Amino acid sequence: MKKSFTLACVALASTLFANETLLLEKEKTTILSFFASWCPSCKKELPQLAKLHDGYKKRGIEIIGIDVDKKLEDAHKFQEKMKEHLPFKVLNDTSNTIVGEYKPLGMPAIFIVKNNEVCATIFGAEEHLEERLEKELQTCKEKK
Amino acid sequence: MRYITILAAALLFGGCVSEVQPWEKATLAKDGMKEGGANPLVKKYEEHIYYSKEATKGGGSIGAGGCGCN
Repeated sequence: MKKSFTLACVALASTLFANETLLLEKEKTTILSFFASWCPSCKKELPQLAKLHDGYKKRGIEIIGIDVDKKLEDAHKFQEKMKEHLPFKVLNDTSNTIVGEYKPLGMPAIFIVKNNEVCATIFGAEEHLEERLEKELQTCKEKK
Repeated sequence: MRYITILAAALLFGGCVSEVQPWEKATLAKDGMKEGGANPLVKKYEEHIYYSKEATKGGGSIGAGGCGCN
């Protein structure tokens, strides 16, 4: 499957089927982090991502968390538990519409999106997430 | 009639072959779905008993006999 998605398609699909809408700004680099309450590696990854949030925000990079739990109750319980590690915007994709569009190969999954295209992906929890993200962001920068 | 039966079976069991996607593994991630059940100690003790009883033929591995000579 091609790793490029149009903003319109994803936004339309998520508006129609998901509980919440994913809107991406075209020029802005966005890090989409897919996670779930049942995924132990996600619990490991989210605190690392939370630490990077402020620095990325200053650089104009947005982080959006997407909880793929099918039960909203599970999602809310998990997000409440992980509250301090979720300083960024979180969408609840209970219908799995958004995740179904991106089709990650594993969980947790990170997609770096710029200009309506996925320019890098990270599947599974990374021990040195910051280094890996910097590397991928650099790759994205060079692509444009 | 034969074709109708095949078609009915295909429709009935068609959903059984759908692949579980990585984001749909909530049920598979439950403790009870682990090998040996929710309590890892049960599996550990079962393995211990099996290993002790089958030591003469290498226990749970493909190793040599349990004579202690190698």
